[in-house]
Amino acid sequence: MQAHSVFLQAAGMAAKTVHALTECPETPELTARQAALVTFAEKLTRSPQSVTAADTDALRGVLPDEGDVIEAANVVAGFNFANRVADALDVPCEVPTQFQRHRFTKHLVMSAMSWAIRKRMRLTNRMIGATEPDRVLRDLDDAVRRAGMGRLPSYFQRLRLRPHILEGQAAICSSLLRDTGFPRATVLRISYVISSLNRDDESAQESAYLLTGMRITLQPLDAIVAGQPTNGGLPALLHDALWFVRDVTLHAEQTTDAQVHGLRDHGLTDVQVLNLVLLAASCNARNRLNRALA
Amino acid sequence: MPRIRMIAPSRASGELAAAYREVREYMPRVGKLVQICSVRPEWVRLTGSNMIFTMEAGTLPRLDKELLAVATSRAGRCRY
Repeated sequence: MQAHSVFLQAAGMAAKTVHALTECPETPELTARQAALVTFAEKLTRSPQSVTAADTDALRGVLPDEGDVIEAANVVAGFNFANRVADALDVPCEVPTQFQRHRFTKHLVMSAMSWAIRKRMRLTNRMIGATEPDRVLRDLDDAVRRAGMGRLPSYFQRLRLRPHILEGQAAICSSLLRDTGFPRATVLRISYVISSLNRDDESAQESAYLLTGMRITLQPLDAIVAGQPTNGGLPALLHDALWFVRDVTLHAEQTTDAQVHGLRDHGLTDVQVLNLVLLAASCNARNRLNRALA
Repeated sequence: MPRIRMIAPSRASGELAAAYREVREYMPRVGKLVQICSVRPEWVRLTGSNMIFTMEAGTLPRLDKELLAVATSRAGRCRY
């Protein structure tokens, strides 16, 4: 959160308001529009399973058009992705730990970083060219089918309004389809477990349909979703990998070095650990876009 | 301490160095979140470019996007 707070300050929010927000999201320092954005981000992150059309409608009430709604949902989904990668792999903080011990020095360092960002980075929107949406969707649909992953989630069609976001999402999706280093059945199991936890019913049902077609039973996966012992129904690596992605989904900040060491003991390389985290994080992001936009 | 190997831009070579150079064209500094993908240079590019697609393109003001990012990170109790 510290890294992003520095950027929020650099983008123009007063340090006092940023601090108040990080202490309490219901702070009266925010405008009604800002409070609505925070409420949406909190709900979609903490409990995507309870997000309904009414939540997205509330966002429509404070944003001028549907394209902005898509952009807002994409930021929340994007940081659900990035934060899970950061926590699951224990990425070091951008603010050095020696400066975090005292509130005053931390405040000074963060203000200095914000100033440097303002000086060196562009903090306004710019036009970015993107490929024509029909072509992106057609190519992605082909790639998904060729990989035997069923149908594209519905939200992809909604991204037509923001072709640059569609292109970015498609690039991530294509990379994961092309080269995860895991068997198709493992990727589908991961998708089923995470989509079930997030109650993205469309994605969970699609994965369930494909797994059942491969004669793979869902019972041990449902046990993991429910947090129950699986009674040896899965090979050890698959068992530990699925519990790891469950933890990355529910509380990535509580994942441990021991979990990753355990995956290594089963023979996973750094690249495979990264791929597993990328798969889990991107599925969490997709589920949130589907809950908010589909 | 990161849980997988993380190669800093100063120690990168070959395809990874090229990926970092691409990211530096639009970011003054390569953040650690990009560096953690260093064992897969394709993801160094994807993580960097997606940050641009998410934060710098479109019409939603940057302040709103940064606010959403902080609220999301707070809700997810992110340590980063």
